[in-house]
Amino acid sequence: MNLRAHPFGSADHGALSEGPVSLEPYRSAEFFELERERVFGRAWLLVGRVEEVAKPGDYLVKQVEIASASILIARGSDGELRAFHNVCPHRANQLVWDNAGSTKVFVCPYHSWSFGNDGALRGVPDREMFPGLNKDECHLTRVALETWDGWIFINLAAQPEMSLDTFLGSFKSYFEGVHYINADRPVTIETRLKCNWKVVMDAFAEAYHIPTLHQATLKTMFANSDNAYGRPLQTSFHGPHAVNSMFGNPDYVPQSKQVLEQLVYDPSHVAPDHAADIAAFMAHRSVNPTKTRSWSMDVNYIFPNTHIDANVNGFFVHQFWPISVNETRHEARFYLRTPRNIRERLAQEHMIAHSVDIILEDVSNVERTQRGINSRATSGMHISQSEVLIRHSLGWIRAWAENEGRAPAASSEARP
Amino acid sequence: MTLLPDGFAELEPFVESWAAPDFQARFERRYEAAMPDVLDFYNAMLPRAEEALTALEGQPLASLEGEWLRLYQLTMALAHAAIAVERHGRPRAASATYPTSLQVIRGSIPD
Repeated sequence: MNLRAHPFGSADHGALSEGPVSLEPYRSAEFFELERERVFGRAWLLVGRVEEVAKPGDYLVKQVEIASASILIARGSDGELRAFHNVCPHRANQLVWDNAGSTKVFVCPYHSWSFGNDGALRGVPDREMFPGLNKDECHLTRVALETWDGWIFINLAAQPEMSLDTFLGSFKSYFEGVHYINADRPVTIETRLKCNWKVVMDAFAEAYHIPTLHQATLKTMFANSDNAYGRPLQTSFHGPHAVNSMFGNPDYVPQSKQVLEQLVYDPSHVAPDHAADIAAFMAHRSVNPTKTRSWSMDVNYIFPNTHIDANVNGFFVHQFWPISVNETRHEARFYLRTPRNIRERLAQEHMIAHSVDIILEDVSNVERTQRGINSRATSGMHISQSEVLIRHSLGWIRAWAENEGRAPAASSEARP
Repeated sequence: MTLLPDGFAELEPFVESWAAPDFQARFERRYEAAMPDVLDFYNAMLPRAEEALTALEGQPLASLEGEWLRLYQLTMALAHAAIAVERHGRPRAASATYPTSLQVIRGSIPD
């Protein structure tokens, strides 16, 4: 089969004929203000998995820098999951200072005001000195929270314009029912970068760069002589959300000189229960959606700033959190089970170390890209069909940012 | 004082440089090391990897201490050294810039 003569996965849309993609949204402070208000201020934002806050009292704290917000996500003693601004109503100090934990009562470290894990004010030291204090007005400020298939989403609008259901649109039925493996155990890797958030996001959205940038780390896994440039297997679009299913070299095995790599990837060391979990994950119709042997991974883009990725090890998440027009926090989460023995633990160490190299290759490059963008040497990007997710996501981000009224409907199949 | 369990004495010279407490520290040691040092460690540790894994299988993974903890840390460091030797032929990926702001906020367990 000569795939070069038969380019597969020709994109539904996004061909070169649509012309270069403008770089202004990657360097304009004015556009960043629109993103703050109209994209991150009103879209549903994925912040984690329910397994991370499984028990009553469990909580997480998530930073949304572009909104200057710290969000407390807490499962109440009544079992209900809620989100609040992590701000004490007394003098607006940050209430919780760690990233995760479990408690019945949140006590503000400033003056010891205390709150139940349902957000209600419990106690005020020296209450007599607050004559006329209305307890109901001192509830933690609620943030809209909804869950879908175990994913926790928040919405920073006082009144979200649409439900999470409407927001997810047809992606919901496309991806519903995935068997998420080890969802309670994220390994989290964070990097702060001097570039626009979309520059990092674009770096993880396509496989066209892999044979060049990742020569030593990934090239032989994502391309071979049949598909030298790693053209996509399939790209599909669900309103603002989208999928890029990537080619993989099915004949990849560690070379004979890669002695330790052979040892850690020895299939005979995979525990039977783990193999069963992987099989259940892989069986989903939308994991490797073309069910091709020559598959490496899927990028499932959830508008505006999340990738839920899938590969033969399970799922993993990349998030791109804007800090300023030129600054981004990149967060990668790999979900790995508690190792049952030393061999599993060593395989995890190798896998995380390998992932860190790949992330560093990508994120080292994004700062170079941003410098090029800021130089204004070029006005636009020439986007191939292999990179169509870039055109797609930017199109939808612009549609939300430039639309003063309601956000565009997620059910719309046509890209704005 | 013995640094490592019986039978692994010849690896003791590598403890100071390579037995680091967690993923972040092991990652930084590898990224900051000179290639001859990575190779020395890799060449000494790799032939003992299978024996080290077998010996560690007899220990409680969640509560390793002392000489066993150090052998565990050396074994984990081998994964990092192996990527440098077997993939890059240099301590770090060719196009990666370093130092970096990258932080493993939450790693696997045990550290």
